[in-house]
Amino acid sequence: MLLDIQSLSHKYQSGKNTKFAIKSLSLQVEPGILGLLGPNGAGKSSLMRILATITKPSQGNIFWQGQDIIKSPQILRKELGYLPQYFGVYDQLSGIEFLQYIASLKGLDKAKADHTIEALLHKLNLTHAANMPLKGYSGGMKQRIGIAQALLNDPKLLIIDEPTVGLDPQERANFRQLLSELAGERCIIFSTHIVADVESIADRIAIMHSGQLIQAESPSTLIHKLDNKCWKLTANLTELKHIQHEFIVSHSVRKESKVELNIVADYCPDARAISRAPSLEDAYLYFTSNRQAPTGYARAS
Amino acid sequence: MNQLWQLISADFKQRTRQQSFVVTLLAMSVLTLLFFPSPDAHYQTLVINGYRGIYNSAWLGVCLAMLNVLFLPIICFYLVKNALELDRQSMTGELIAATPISKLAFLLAKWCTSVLILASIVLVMLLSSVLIQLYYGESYQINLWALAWPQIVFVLPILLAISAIAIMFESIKWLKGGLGNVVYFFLWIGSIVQTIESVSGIGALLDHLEGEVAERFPLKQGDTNIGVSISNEANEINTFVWQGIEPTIMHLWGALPVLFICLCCLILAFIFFDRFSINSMPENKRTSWFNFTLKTKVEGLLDIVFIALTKHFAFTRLLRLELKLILKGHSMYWFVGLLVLNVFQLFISQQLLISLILPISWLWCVLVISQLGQLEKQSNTLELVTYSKQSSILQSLASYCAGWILLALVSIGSVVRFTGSAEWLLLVQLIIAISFTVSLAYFCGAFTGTKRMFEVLYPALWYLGPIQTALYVDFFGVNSQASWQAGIPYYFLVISISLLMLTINAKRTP
Repeated sequence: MLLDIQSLSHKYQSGKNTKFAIKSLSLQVEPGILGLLGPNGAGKSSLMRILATITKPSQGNIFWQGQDIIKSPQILRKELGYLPQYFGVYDQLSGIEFLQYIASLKGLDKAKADHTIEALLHKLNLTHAANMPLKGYSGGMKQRIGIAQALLNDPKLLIIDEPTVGLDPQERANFRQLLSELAGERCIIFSTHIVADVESIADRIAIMHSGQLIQAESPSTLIHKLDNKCWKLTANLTELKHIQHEFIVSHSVRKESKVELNIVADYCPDARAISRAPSLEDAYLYFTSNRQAPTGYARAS
Repeated sequence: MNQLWQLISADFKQRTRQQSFVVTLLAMSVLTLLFFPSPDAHYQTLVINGYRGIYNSAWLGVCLAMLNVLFLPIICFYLVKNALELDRQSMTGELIAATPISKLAFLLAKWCTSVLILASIVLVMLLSSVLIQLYYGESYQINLWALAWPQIVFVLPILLAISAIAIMFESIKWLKGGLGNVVYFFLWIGSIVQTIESVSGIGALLDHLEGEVAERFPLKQGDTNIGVSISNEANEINTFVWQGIEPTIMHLWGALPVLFICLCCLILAFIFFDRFSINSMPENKRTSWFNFTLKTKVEGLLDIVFIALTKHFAFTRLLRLELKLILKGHSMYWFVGLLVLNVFQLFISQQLLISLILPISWLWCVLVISQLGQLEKQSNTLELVTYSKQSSILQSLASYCAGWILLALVSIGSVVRFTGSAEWLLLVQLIIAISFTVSLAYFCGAFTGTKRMFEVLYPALWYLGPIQTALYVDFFGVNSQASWQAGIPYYFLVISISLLMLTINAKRTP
């Protein structure tokens, strides 16, 4: 089972200029969870829509188990579960009716659909609200209905775009647990810009920036790439602005008149700085940051 | 088949579990009631040589079918022209696009749901007609078959066709919005009435009725009217007992042209439906050089002038932004059209100006001013706007004035002409017509939350009033003298102010 993305580009017109939402992106997706990270506007949602066969790319090929899904999208749709970043529901229907509707669109027979719906509602803690109209659901409940509809056909490829938006911490933890259980033999592409959401569950992390794929590694490899690039510095509050301007600051904690900073830099930013273990968040910030080498700030030798 | 039924069932539930559907059913019941007037009413519906049948099941069945064939195409089209829009607006389109459902199965399900919705409306009308028969008591014998068969033979094919036409309009990019609403209205006015009469088979039935009445009552007793005729005198109408006829194979053959239209529309819908593809999203739309240059250069320049003119008062600043809001996103060709219409207004004859060019100029703005009153709801900014606005009255007035200025801009040529020739009464009529149009747009938008109501209602008023010069609905007063004599401008002025006040009041309540 394999999703093979080859030299994928997608451009759009913005005024007089042609802009690339995705530029020459190649990626192979194996069974397991692929965390797709990138800042807003990186092209994650465009890629998701193309993979979900909703948008046709300008260039490139996508093969699902060796078959071209740009030419024959129906091949993938039968095995696809998709949760877009922004989606709506038929608010006059109850949760169970809406899932029955989506099950029909996916071509599931009624008996199988009813059984799956019941199991999913239970798994997503929605059984109590199953017969309530969706217009009465909270944001988190609607998000869970969205997740349930994506899982209805037991998809071999599950594409979920920013699924944890609107979920409370407990629901987010449950959702990560659910994804880990689901992973097995299927491919899951999980797009987010919240690093903590993918840190513990992703087998591979792909980082996108300005429409390009800049990294695609396992979390541990990505973290290793930042060995000797992460520093802890306790600085005066007055220095904070200047340091933030010069370096990537991944975390800061105020301690009385001082501030404790986690800095990511290719070299030691200050004589007071001490080396620390890198995290995935450091790696994400390091690879997506456009900052240039600092000028005029004291370099530690 | 089971899959199709599931789709239809869910779609039907979503579209009928709305308050508006219940209101529609009630309104159609009332319409049915109105279509069967009491013998001493000031209007009559189906009258042949001064006679009408007694209100028995046979007569009511045929009359109801005639009412439906004439009016359902216009009413029902707008009721079901939201099958695909519902998925786009509720943002379920992307979920649907990623499923393996075929375009054909999806469109068929949508079409069947629309047919079911319309059939349920006709069913309610049918039940209402049973009550009407019992109420008038001219015959207490209820014959359900006599009531129902004209609906099955003549009305059902029309329902199938309307649903297909609505889906086709929604599938074609340039017909799915407000333009489609206006285009359909004129199609109906221009040709559909005749087409339906000749292709639905009801024309043959009416011929049969006329023949039977002529045979039984050869002397001329009065007029023949199909539709609604208003008389000032309450003349008692002659009645006769009509036992009805049985449907024949010829009646069924009569429905074939309508079914053919239905099939063609479904095929076109299948060809043009984009399956909620995101390729049609604005980010992928190519902007023409002409549009781009005018938009960036001319618009920028005009905006600088407007900013300078309006910057001193809170109201004028708000007014500029409201005007900008309703004008944003429209093609530059629309603005060029606005200019061209003004040039025409300056140089054509006055008769042609007031009877044609000026009304056309207002119609040119229908799709722009239909946004009034509902923009916040459509763009989901209701909560942001509600808590931000300093004064709801100020904001409402700014919206209203923006619409007013727009219509004034499209009428500048006429204002110059009327002022130049000292036609002060015409100038007052023009001001009242603009005020009424904007008030109506604002009212419809605010109370329905959609553009559709105004986009349907205004062309209807426009056609009956300024174009057909029906005195009581001519909000402009093309026959100026007759209009002033009947006091029509005063009525429309009062209506304009009332609508505006109602809307402002509604907007004040959160």
